Amino acid sequence: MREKMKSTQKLDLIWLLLLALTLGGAFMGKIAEPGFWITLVIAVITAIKGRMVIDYFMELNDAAPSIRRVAKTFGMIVPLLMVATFLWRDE
Amino acid sequence: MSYFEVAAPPSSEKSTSGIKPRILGNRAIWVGIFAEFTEFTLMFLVYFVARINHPQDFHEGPQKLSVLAGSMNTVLMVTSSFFVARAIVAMRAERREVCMRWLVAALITAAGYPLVKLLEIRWNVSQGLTGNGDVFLMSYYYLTFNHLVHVSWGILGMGYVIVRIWFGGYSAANHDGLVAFASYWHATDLIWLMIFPLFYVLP
Repeated sequence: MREKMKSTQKLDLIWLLLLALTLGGAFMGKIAEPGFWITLVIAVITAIKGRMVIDYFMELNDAAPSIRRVAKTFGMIVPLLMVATFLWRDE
Repeated sequence: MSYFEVAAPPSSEKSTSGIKPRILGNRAIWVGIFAEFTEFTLMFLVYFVARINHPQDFHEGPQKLSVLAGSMNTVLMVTSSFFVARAIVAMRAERREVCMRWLVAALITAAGYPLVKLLEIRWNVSQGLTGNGDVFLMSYYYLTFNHLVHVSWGILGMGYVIVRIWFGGYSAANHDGLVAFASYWHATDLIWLMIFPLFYVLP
């Protein structure tokens, strides 16, 4: 029972972190000048949020490898393309 | 060790012991989720190709849209997804009434998403931000409308699992259908977490 309480508390914490990262990221995007660093920060925040959903809400750490790999790859596509297209544009 | 392992029935759902890899829910829902991931990956590729070719439109785009509406919908999606995760934990503990309460909370929260979307689109139109605008707005409408369709399927699915629980359709030992729905809903949340920064945040 004690273990289960811990697990629900972990979910609560993940939810609060997701909200904080969402609102914090949106605020930074509003006030920051366009550039590499803000693009990188937004990409990292997006990747972290995606991974939190995959690991803690979807529980894919314990799933079949094919499912886990597809979901984790999907969660990295947008963050990587954010940075890649910024670098491409700068060239 | 994840909370799932702690709360799950010991015989059928563990995989870290090396017995067999787990399919969460059922195979059919994962075919659907893989199709959903493929569809949105293609749309993301189109977005980034357009972004490379029209940097000015995409630089100015997020300033035109309502970041408040986008943030509200993110909060609603994440919160609804969290409520569903808590519902699963309750069902594994054979607490059906608690599970039902979490799912009803998830349904109410999820219903806020199309409502905010409707208000956002009305505001957009009043500002002259229509689908006939620049390439940023076209991709914004195309991607977010597609996501709205997926959310709508999810809301219907949520209603279905609530009715099934009401009639005693799931138990701690057998709730694959509920987990299948939850997997779809979390995947739809994950997709929104990718869409949100592209249109509302990334300068």
